[in-house]
Amino acid sequence: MSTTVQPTVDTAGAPAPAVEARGIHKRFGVVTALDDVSVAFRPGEIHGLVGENGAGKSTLTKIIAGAQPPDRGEVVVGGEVVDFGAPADALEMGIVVIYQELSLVPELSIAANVFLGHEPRKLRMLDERGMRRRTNELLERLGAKFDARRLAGELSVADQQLAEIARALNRESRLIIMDEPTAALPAEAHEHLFGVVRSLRDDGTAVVYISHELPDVFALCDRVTVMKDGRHVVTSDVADTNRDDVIRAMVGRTLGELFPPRRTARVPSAAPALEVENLSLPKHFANIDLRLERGEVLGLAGLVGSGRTSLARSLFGSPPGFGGPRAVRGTVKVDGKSVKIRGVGDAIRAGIAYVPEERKTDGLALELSIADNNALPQLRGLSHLGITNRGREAAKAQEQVEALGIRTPSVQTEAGNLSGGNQQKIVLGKWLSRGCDVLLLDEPTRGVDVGAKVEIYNLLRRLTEEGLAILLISSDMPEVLGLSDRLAVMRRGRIVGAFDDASAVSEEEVIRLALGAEEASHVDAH
Amino acid sequence: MSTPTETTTTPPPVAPASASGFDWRRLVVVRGPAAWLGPPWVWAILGAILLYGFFAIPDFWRADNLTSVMRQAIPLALVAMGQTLVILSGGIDISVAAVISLSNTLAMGMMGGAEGPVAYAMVLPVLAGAFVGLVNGLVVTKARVPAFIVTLGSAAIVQGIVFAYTNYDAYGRPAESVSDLGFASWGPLPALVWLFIPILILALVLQNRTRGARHLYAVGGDEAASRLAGVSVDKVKIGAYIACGALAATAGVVLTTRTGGGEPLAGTGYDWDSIAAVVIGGTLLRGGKGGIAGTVVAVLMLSFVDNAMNLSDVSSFWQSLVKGLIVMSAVIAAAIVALRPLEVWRARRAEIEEATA
Amino acid sequence: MSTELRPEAELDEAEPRSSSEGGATLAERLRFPITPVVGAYLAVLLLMIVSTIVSSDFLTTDNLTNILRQAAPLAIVAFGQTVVILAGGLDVSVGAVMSLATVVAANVMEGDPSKVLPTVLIVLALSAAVGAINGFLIGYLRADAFVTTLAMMLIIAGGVLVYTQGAPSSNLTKGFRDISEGDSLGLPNGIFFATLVFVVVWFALRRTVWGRRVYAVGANPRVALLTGQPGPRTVMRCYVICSFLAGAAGLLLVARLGSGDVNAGDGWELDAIAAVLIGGTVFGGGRGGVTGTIAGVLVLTVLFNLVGLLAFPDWVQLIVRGLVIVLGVAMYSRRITTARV
Repeated sequence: MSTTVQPTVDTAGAPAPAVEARGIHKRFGVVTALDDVSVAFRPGEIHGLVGENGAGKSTLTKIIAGAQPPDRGEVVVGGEVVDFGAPADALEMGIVVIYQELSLVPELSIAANVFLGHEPRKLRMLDERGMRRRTNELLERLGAKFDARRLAGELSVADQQLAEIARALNRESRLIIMDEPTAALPAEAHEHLFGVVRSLRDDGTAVVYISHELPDVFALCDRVTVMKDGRHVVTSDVADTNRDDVIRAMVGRTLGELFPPRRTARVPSAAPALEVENLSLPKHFANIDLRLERGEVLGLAGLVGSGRTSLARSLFGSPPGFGGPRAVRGTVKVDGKSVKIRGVGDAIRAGIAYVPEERKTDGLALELSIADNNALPQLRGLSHLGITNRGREAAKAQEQVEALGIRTPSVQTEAGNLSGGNQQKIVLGKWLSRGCDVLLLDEPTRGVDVGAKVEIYNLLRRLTEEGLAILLISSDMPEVLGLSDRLAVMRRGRIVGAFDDASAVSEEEVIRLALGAEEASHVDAH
Repeated sequence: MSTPTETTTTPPPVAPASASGFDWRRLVVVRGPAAWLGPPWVWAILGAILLYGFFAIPDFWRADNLTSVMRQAIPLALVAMGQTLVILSGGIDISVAAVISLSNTLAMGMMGGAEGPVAYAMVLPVLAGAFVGLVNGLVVTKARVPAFIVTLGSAAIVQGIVFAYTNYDAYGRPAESVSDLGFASWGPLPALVWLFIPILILALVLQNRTRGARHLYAVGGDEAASRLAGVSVDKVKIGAYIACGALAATAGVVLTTRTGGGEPLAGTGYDWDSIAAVVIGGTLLRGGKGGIAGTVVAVLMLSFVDNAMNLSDVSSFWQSLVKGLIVMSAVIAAAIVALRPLEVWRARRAEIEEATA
Repeated sequence: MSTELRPEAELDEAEPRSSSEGGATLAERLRFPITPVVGAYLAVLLLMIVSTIVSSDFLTTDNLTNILRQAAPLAIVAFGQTVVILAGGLDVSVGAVMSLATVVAANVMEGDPSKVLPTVLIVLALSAAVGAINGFLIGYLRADAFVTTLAMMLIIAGGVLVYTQGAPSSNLTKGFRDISEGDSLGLPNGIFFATLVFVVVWFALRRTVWGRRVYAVGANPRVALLTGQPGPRTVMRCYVICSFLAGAAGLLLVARLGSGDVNAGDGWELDAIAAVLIGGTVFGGGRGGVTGTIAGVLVLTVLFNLVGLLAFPDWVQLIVRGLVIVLGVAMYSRRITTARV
C-alpha cells in the first residue's frame, strides 16, 4: 500500500511531548492488538487519531490511561517513564479520557459524577455546594442546558455525553483523550465542543481527538496519526495532507476497491419483501415509509440518534422502551401480506432476521458453543418432539462455518473465544442457517478487520443475488454507499431523504441530510 | 420511494427525556430529603400500622409499649444499617447472624457477671466483628467469590467457633450495670434509645456527606465506571464489610443488656430479617440506590407489626408468615414499579442509538 | 452486583473475555488444567482417600451405604437447584419446601396405606405450586430471584407453623417408610430415586429444546429474547421443577425421620446451593450441569461423614462446611456476578 502522506520530522524546535507511547506491544490471546506503536502527543496541540475499527486506537487509549498494562514498551509522561497500576494513577498524572461508552453512574447526580474520585471536602465533609457551582460553570461553558443536580440516569444520551466532557474538563490535565466525542451529540453542540477543544489547546493541554468524522478531524486537528491493524502508519501535520491520503493510509486501498460490483438487473418479484407504512414509535421515530424489494440492499444512513436501530428493533418485535410491541403503530407487510408483529417470535416466523449492533451483548451467548448459538433461532426445526438432535445441530453449524469462512477449530468451540470478525459471521450465520427473507443488519462490520469485512460484503452481495432482501444500517458512510442499491437517510426519527440509486449519491449529500442542511456548512470547509 | 426529497423541516417527533408532567420515578428515587428520612412509602406503611394500632389495639399506644418496641428494635436496626452498606456496594452479608452470636457470647463471657471487664466486653467483640468483616471483604474482592457464598461460608465458620467455645450452652453472664442499662429509662425514652439516636445521626451524616459513602454508592451503581474514575473499588467494598461486621457485633453487644446469659444462637433470624428490612426500606439489592434511613424506618415498621400481632394475641406462628407476606409484597411492588428507570438506563447503554431531544 | 459486561462502542479485535470479564480464575492462575466438573470428582476421590487413611471405619459397606443414604435427598434438591442456577437464578426457599413436605406428608397420611399415593401427589403438587408462584414472579414480573424466594421461604416457614400449630405429627405408614427408607439390592432406595431424577434432569437439560433454552437464558437473556426463545415460560418451568424436586426430597426425608418437622429442611437450601457451585455450575448461569452436581453432593456428604467418623464435635462440621464452600467455589470463580446475589 502506498501513501503520499509526508511523515513529520521532529525538528529541534518542536515542544517536548506531554505524553508519549514508545514501542507498545499488546496481545490478547492469539490476536495482536498493538504492534510496536510509538506516538508522541505534544502540549498545546490537537492530535487526531484515526483508523478503522480494530486498528488499535481504543487499546492504545486504555494503555495510556492506565486501564490496561502493555506487554512491552512504555508510556512516558513529562519525560519520565511511568508504570500505571490502575486508572487512578494515570488520572493523578493528569491523563484524562472521555470514553465513547458512557461511564457515568446513573444513580448519582451530574455534580457527583463530575467530581467522582476527587471530591472536594470542607472539614471532612463533601462540599456539595462547591461541587454544584463548579459543575454548573462547566456545563454552561459546554452549552449544556441541564442542572448539575439532575441524576445522570435521567438525561438523554447526548446530555450524558456533555456531562462526560464536563467531567474530563474538571480535572487538571496535561492530556485529554476524546474518543468519538461528537458521536452522540446533536449538530448544534458540535461547534460548541470544537470551541472548547480549541480553548483547551490554547491553554497548553495536549488533546487527542479520536474520530471517524474526517471532516471534523481536518477542521480541528493540528497533527493526525493514522493507525492500521495495530500498527502506527504515519503521523503528519494536517496541513500537509488531505482526506484521500488519510483514507488510503487507513484502509490500504481506495474505497472503490472494497465493495463488490452492484448487480444491474433487478430480480423480478410480485411483491416487495418488506413494506412499511406510516410506522411510528413515540419518542423514537415517526411516519416511516419503506419499501424493500427482494434481492436488493436498502441502506439506511444517518448519525447516531436518528432512530435507525429503534426502527430495526421494532420491525423485529423488540422495540426499545417499555411499551412493548404494542407501542408501535403502522403497518408492516412481508411478501405483500400484512403481518402483526407482537414479539420476536412473530417476526422470526414472518421471515425477518436481525443482526444487532452489539454482538457481544445482543448477538451471541459467549459461553455457548458455535453450534449452540447457531441452533438458537431454529431449535424447534432441528428437534423432534422437543428432543434435540446434536448431530443435526453440529452439521448445520458446520455448514455455516464452511459457507462463511469462519476460522475455528471446531463447532464446539465457545463463541467467546473467537475474534470479532468470526463472531459476527456466527451471528449472521445463525439466521442464514435458519433461513430468512428479510435481513436487518445493524452495523454489521463494526469491530471487524478489513479482510473479514470484504468477505462479508461479498457474502451479502451473493445473498441478494439469491433473492434475500437486506436492510443495512451503518454509520460507516463508505460502507453504506458502497453496498446499497437504494438509500434512505434518517434524521431525528424521520426519513429525510431517499435515493433510488445509491451509486449516484455523494457522501456530502448524505451527511447534509443526516445533519440537516443548516448545520452541514462546516463539513464543506475542506 | 420516489425521487430525492428535500430536507424536511418539521419538528422532531420525539419529546425530550425530561418532559413536563409528573415523573413517577421521583417516588422511587432516593435523594434530597429522602436521603435523610427514607422514601415516603415506608413512612406511609409505618403510619398505617400505627394508625391501625391506635384504633384497633387497646394497649398499643401506651408510652411504655411504644418505647419498648423502639428499644427492642435497636439490635435489628444496627444490623440492618450495616447490611444496607454492604448491599449498597453491590454485595450481601449472610454472616451477620453468626457475628451477633459471636459478639454476644464473647461479651457475656468476658463480663462473667463482673463490673471490671465491662469496657473490654463492649469493645473487643466489636473488633472481632470488624475482623470477620475484613476477611469477608478480602475474599470477595481478591478471590472474586460471590458475596453470597463467602458470607455463607464465614457464617458457618463463625458459628462453628461459637459452638466450640460455648459448648452449645448459655455462656457467661452480664454485669449488673449492663442489665440495668437495658431496662433503664432516661426521661421519656429508654436509655438505649438515647444512645442509639446519636449513632443513627452520625451514620446518616457519614452516609450523605462523606466522600467514602459517595464512593460506596458509585461502586454499587456502576463498578466499572467508578474504577475508571479512579475510585478504589476494593477498598470501598472491604470498608462496607468491615462496617457491617462491626455493626452486627454491636447489636450482639446490645443484646447483652437483655438476657441473663450469652446465647450461642443469639443471632438467629437476624440475617434474613436484616435483608428484608433493607429491601423494604427501598435499597435496591443490586446496589447503588437506597440508604440507611429507609432501612431504619422499615425496621421500626417490622417491629411494630410484630408488636401489634403480639398484643392482638396472634399466635407467634403467624408472625413469620406475616413477615414473609410483607416482604413478598415489597418484592412485587418493586418489580412492578421501581426498577424501570434504571433498566431504561442500562438499555440505553446497550443501544447508543436514541432519539435526542 | 452491578453489571460488569459493558457494551464496547468500538470493538478491538478479539479482546477475549478473560481480560474484560474479571481476569483468570484462581484455578487458571495456579495452572490447574482441569475443568470444574473433573476437579470436583477428583476432590471426592481425594477426600475418600484421606478418609480411608484417617479412619478405619470409612471403607466399610455400612458406612458407604450410609453416605449414599445421606446423599440421596441432597442430590435431589441439588439437581433442582442446578436447573434454577443454570437459568441465572437462585432458590433459597427449597429448605422450607422440604419442611412443608415433611409436615404435610405426616399429617395427611394418617397411617392409612390407602392414603400414601394421594399424599405423595398432594405434596408434589403443593411443591410445584410454590415453584409456580416463584417462577411467575421471577420469570414474568422479573422480580429479584433471591429476595422473592427469600420471602417465599419466610411465608412457607410461617405457614407451616400455623398449619401445625407447633405440634409434631408422625403418622406415616410403614409401607411408605419402607419404600423410601428401605434397601434394595444392598443399596438404599433413595439412591434409585436420586438416579432416576438425575437421568431425567440430565436428559431434559442436555437433550431437549427446553434445556437448551435454560442454558441460553442463563448465558445471555438478551440473546435468548432476540432469537425468539420464550424466556419467562422457560424460567418459570425451572422454578417449578426446583420446588417439585425439593418436595420429593422432603418425602425421602420424612420417611427417614419418621415424623413431620417444621425445621426439617433448615439449611438444606444452602447445602444444595453449595453442592451445585462446587460441582462447577456457575452463578449467573449458562454453564455447568447436573453431572458436576453429583460430585458436589458427594464432596459435602463424604466430608460430613468423615467429620462424624472422627467423632469431632458438631461444630467442626460447621467450620469444615464453611471452608469447603468458599474454597470449592473460589477455585473456579471467574467473573463478578452480574445483577444477582
